[in-house]
Amino acid sequence: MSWELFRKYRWIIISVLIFLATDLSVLGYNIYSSFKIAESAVSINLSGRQRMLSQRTTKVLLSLQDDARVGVSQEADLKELALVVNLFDTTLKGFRDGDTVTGGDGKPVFLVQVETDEARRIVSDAYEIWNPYLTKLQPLLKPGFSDTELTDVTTYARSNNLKLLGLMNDLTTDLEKTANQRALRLRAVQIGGLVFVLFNVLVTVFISIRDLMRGDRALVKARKETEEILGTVKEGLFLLDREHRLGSQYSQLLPEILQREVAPEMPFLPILEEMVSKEVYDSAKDYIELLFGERVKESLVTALNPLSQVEVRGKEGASHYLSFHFNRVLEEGKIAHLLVTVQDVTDLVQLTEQLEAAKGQSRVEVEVLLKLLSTDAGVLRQFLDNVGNGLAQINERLRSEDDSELARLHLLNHIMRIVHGIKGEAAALGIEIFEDYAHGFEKELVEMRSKGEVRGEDMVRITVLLDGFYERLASITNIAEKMAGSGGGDADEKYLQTFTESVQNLVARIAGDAQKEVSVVCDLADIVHLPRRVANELNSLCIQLLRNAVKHGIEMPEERETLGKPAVGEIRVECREVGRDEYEFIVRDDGRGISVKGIREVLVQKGLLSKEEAEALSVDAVMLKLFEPGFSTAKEADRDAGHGVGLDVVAEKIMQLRGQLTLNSKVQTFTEFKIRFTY
Amino acid sequence: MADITEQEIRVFVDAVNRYFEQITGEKARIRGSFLAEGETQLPIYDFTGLISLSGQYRGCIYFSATRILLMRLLLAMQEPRQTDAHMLDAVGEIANTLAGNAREYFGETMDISVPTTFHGFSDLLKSAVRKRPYVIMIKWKQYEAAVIVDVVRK
Repeated sequence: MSWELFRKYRWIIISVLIFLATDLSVLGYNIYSSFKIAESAVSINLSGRQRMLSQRTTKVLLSLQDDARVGVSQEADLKELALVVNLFDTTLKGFRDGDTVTGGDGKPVFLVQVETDEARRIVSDAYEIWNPYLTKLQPLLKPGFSDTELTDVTTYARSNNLKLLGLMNDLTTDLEKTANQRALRLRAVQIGGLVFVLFNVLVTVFISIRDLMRGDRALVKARKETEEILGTVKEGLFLLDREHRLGSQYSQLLPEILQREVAPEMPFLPILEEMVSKEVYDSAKDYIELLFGERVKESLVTALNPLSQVEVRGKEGASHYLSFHFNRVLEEGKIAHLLVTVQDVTDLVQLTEQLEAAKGQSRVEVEVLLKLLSTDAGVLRQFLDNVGNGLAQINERLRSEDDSELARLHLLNHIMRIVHGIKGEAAALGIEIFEDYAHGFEKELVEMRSKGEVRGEDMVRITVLLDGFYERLASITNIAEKMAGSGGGDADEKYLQTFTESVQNLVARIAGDAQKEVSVVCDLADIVHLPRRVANELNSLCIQLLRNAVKHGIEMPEERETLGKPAVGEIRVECREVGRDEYEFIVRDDGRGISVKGIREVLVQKGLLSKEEAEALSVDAVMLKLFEPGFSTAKEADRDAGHGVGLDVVAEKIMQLRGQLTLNSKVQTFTEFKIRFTY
Repeated sequence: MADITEQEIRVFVDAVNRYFEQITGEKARIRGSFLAEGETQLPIYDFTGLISLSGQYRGCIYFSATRILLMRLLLAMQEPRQTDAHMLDAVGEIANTLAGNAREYFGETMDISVPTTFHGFSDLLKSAVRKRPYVIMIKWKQYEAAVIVDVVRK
């Protein structure tokens, strides 16, 4: 029994112990008294017999005198005299010293010594009479006594018989008195014991009832407090047992938070299974098992909780976010339950998402702001106009009435070209957020195209992406408008500088990504004579050509050295006025050149042509394949190459400029794109 | 203002598609999608059913269909009467389906009005909250309809 248990029930235990002690004491005294009373009964009985024996002695003596006078035999009387004298003497001796004597039934019985002073005095007085009496009786107990001896003892008997009888009476009275007192004492002890036990029982009952009532009150109070807590808390609270059943009580808001009906002792896992994905459900089940495992430290597994923030399906299908926390409840050091706290954190999650979006938006704005400070306002405005036009074109094509499979594929290619163009321009201006978004957009388009069929559902996805693009455009336009008016200096000079820098930055970034070394030589002074619109078109076009030059033209430094070329590749970008309003725009690299054989192989590998068809193509026809949508010689797609979008954009821009392209190339020596146009 | 997601747009479009499948056994399909630049680009057909949203989401969603599509739909429903009132009832029922699905998906975060129906154009159909509302063009058999989602999340 624990100390706590003893403390709780100490009064009941003490009461029971007192009851037992009292009961045993009274019982012991009862046994002792019964034994004593039995002894007293023997004494009283024998004391009464002494009275009879004294009378019988006198009677026998008188009878002996009569026998002598009439001359009959005295033998019978003498035998009886010897018997009664002996009985009286031994019994008297028993009273005085305590001894075994012959009982009333002739059997030996132990006679206890008298206890009271009065009894001892009586016995002593009796001896004073009996001793001379016995001396005088002695001759009669032997054969041949004289008449004188008979007369002497008879005379003594006559004179003392009544005294002896009186003393034996007194002894009997005293013995009875002692026995009565003992019986009275026993009764008093019994009554006292009984009363005490009764009192003890009453006290115990009182204490027990008081403790029970106090316990009940505490229990009612505790239950009321628990109900108040469970009815007030804003979280879902419940206990989970080892069989994964809910406890008998749970917080009032639990069903509302779980959006499900719950009942005491209900299994928890089926509820969870309805709410979360199978993967989360399996992890949660493992986690709960882990928490019930005695060997695992609770603090170490908290991080594994798959339900700390989980999207759940409501009963009506709408999803919301819940946060479950599990804490062990120990009883005597063993895990008895898990206390589960559930909170609806939907608002918090949405707020966090909004905060993240706002943060992202701020990042965009700061980045754009920084870029704008170092960019020509005209260039930026043109860029934004281009983006706006591009998006409008996409949207216009999306409205197309033609929903055939082929039309959708064409639409997808068209959108890809526009997005790719925007990506290039954004990269040249260094607006990474825009570039990244366009890259993501482009990737999704490539994925759709790779599936082989473009479905109506894909159009919804494209529309959502387009909307995101519009949103970004609106943010940047907004900032650009706020910035308008700032800046200054020579516009042409600044435009030329920005154009040149954008070329250099783009080449540096693509070369860095591809781990190539490339220098750029720009001779673009005449570009400022062109209208900005045309110059911007050239910029878009130039971006694609530069990408191709770095990714496909310039070799890796080691390869160049093996071929006897300088490790650093060179790209030249020139814009020259060659006649009245007639210009040449040239992008030339000293890389590996265009391999007609290589293009043929790619056409066959991609299944676009059979080997025979590829071989049958003229060199010019092979070169033209480079300008078709979806063609790429890159092995892996990244943000600079591999999507099969690039030269088709160039071709489209040249058409818009009404220009003429001359493509010169020599394997392992150079590639040159020369665009001649007038405006 | 956070924007409405593709998944949320799909809830409405899927609701319409499922409706056609359940009623006629033949699914409607998405023909295409675009952003309406101003009210002139909103494809308002002969009959339109509209629900308005408030609460965490704001704006309106509507289903607009040609008379011929609705006639064909009523026939599929074995409804011989093909008056304008019956056409309006049909678009109202589809708008009701939109509301039901929205309620099921968004739960308490969306307060949804009872459907309103129109014959032809109504001022209520002007672009309400988005600069460019989403237009999802639908085709059932060879007939045209559209779901327009002009909703923003607060």
